[in-house]
Amino acid sequence: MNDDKTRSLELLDEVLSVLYEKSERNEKVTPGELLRVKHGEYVFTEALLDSAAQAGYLDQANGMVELTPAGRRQAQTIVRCARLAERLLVDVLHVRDDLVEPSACRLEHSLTEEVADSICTLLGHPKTCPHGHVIPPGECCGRASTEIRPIVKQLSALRPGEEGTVAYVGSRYHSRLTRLAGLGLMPGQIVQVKQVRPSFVISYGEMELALEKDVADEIYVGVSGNRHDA
Amino acid sequence: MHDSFTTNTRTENERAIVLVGNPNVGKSVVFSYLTGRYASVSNYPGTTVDVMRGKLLHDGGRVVIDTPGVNTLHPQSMDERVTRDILLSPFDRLVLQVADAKNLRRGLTITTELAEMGLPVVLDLNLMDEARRRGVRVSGSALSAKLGIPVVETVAVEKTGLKQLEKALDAKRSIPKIHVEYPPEIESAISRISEILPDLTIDKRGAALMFLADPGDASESFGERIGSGRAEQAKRIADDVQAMFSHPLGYIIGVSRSRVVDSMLDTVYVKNPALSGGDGEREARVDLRYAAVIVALASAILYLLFGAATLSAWGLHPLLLHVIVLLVLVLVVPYATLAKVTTHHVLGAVLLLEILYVTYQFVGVIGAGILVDLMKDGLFGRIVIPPLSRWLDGAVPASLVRDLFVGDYGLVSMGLTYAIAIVLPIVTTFFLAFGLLEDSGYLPRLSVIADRVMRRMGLNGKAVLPMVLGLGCDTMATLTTRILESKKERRIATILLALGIPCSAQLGVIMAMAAGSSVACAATVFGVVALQLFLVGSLSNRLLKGRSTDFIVELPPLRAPQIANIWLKTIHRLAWFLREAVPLFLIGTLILFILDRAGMISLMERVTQPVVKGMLGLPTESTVAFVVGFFRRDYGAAGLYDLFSEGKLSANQIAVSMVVITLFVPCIAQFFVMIKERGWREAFLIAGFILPFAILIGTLLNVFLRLTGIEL
Repeated sequence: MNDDKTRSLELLDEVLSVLYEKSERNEKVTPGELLRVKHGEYVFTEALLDSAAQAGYLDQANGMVELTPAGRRQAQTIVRCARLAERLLVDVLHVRDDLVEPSACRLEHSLTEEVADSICTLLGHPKTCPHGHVIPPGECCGRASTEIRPIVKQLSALRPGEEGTVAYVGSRYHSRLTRLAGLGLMPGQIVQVKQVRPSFVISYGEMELALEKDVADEIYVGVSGNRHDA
Repeated sequence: MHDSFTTNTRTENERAIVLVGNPNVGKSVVFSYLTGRYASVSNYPGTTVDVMRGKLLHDGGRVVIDTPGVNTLHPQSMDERVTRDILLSPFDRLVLQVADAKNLRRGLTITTELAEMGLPVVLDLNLMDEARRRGVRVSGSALSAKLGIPVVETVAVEKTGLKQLEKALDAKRSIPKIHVEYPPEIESAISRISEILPDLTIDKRGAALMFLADPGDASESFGERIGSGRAEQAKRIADDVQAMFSHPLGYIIGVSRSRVVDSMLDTVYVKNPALSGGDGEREARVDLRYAAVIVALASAILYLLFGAATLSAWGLHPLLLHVIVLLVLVLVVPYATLAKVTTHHVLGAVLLLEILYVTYQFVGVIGAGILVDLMKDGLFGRIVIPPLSRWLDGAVPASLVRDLFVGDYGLVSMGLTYAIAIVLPIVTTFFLAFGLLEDSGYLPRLSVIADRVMRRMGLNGKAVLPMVLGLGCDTMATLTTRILESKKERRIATILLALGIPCSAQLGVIMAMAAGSSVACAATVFGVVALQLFLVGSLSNRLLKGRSTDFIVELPPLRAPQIANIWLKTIHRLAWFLREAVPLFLIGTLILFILDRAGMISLMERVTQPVVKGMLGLPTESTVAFVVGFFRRDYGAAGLYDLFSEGKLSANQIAVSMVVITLFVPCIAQFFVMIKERGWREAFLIAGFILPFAILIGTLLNVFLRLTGIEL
């Protein structure tokens, strides 16, 4: 594939994801505003918008640019790849914060849907990116995937007696994140599940903590090489 | 003995030792040792958080302040805010940090925060015995060398090491030597904020970190001292840095600290399960013990069902066996196993019922029975009121004045008698039982069992505490709804307490009537009330706005409670009760007195008669009970009890009247507390909903029983 071709495909992806992010926030844009949007190193041109419209991804109504259903599907795939890439970089690879964005931007264009699903499964089907935006669910999230054993699971998926290492806490609520951190539940902490009902009871260090399932759902733990001596 | 916290701390040249530490590490035991018995409790301004103060025994010039347990000094809760604010006070502070030796990681997190605040610290490594039993080896001397502060190893409950701790308080003061290097963006923000800040009561680095972790909270605490312009500037810097990170800054700061703490632990803390004294062996027998617990509980249940009559035939009080079962559980079963049982989804619930039963018997039989009789008939009936009324007869001829004090609705004969002779013994026994459960570490475990049910009602497991307290006294319980974190939860809990949690006085009458009628009747009453609680709870959950707070509760290990400590707590709580609730009982009585004089009470009786007779199907005489019940629920219930013992009520009528009086509006003291806590508008809205609702449910039950022809 030649560079120009790749470049224009990447640009198309970017314009679609910008529109998708706007629609998440219920914002609308005129073509003029869209041309002025600076998205990293990318600059959008009128020709780009035209070709996107020709491909059936964009539409204009009342002077506003909108995604067509096909455009929306395409955009979801791209946004999903980008946000999964961020999760992977931040939580598993522990890439420095200032490098996450540019790396994720590169990665999102090179991921196929299958690879994205694999990453998604590996990470235990995360629901949000590190910034708290919703990751559009893929096919893999619906069915329990058996081909790949996830290396990261929700704490709530562990059985009593199993243990794991906290990979990240994927919560939309900052207060929940800081509260758990205040109790010492931070990445790297090894936790063991003691009981799953009526509420979750976990132990770590020399302490025990009771949690509701909602919270246990948001704690993602690495389970590779753990003891399964339940 | 009681004084407001602020008036006492206004003196800036006070020299204080501030006790700080995680929850459940034994701070209060250390506090009692250092201060002797003479401590005063006060609520921190605007909160119900208890702050204890006392004079240091071996140096009367210094005071000791015991603060609420914290996990971090970047506050996440009311307790943590109070502790942090005390540490920011202008007076001379030496921090005595009590840490759980086996959980040193958490302790050192706080030490790190204290170091950043620039406060001198003496570190007490407490619970060394628990640590040893779990195979944890901690070197106090190595830690002391590392941190450059005095570190003392103690077992506070056995008074081991406390002499040395006392001495360490006189040693040269030093700030812990801990430095956390944060990511460069944060470091540069720290120096930029430090430049803006004027001299404060803590180190600027610590203050800057407070701004970064929670700008809103920091501006609030420092606002006055640094001026709103500077606070705004610092806040802006914090917001700018936050924009560079995907996680909240407070979290990133916490992670950086925990790395430093982990590296400190490497050299001073070893955990080797092989060294644990006996517990390993115990773990192996856990399953066997589990079986023993099941057998013990099963026999208790069997006994409940069949054994009461048999045992009474042998001349034993039924309560005895329950106490024996609980004692066996506590004394024989290892705490680790017992801890598992307490949160088990089946065994835990059974244990809970068993504990509630024994508690009720203790409060109901000893408190509401024996002690109330002594106080009411003995103290007030014979010793206080007769001479008082004789004296009043002679001294003031006007019957109005006499009645005001010793009449039907007299301040002494009704108000004080009620508060001191009836409610005080009940809450005293209740607080003793509550303190026992609290100090054993059971209460947080109770919330694990209750969480699922409470969640349906928009509350979380923690709300079970005010509910259980409500079974003692709803007025007190309404005050403690403050422990709940969100406004929505406090509202719902207040509604449920007002609606259907019977207080011990009321519960006593209901139980007595149920015992005199049929099991079906008692089951109907409790079933209908529980159903209404659940219904109104889940409805309020849907209707009221706001998110319920997360259920995240630390479960401390079960421990043998210290009787002296429970006494101390009970006395503090009773003092609180006398201060907060007794005036309300007096005001309530006064209002009743005025209403009675104005002829309002008999008017109300006449007006409500059609409702009582027509809709509820109850005899005319019971009208009085309901009207009086408006002011004092148990009196209302007692009025019905009189009718019942005269044989004027059928079983169906008992069920209907008990349901209505339980759901009925709260007693007047509780209503005042509702106004105090939730404001006039909300209190009246709640009462305005409950009154017709109680009558509606009563009517429905009456109609249902009549149409189906069921005889309970």
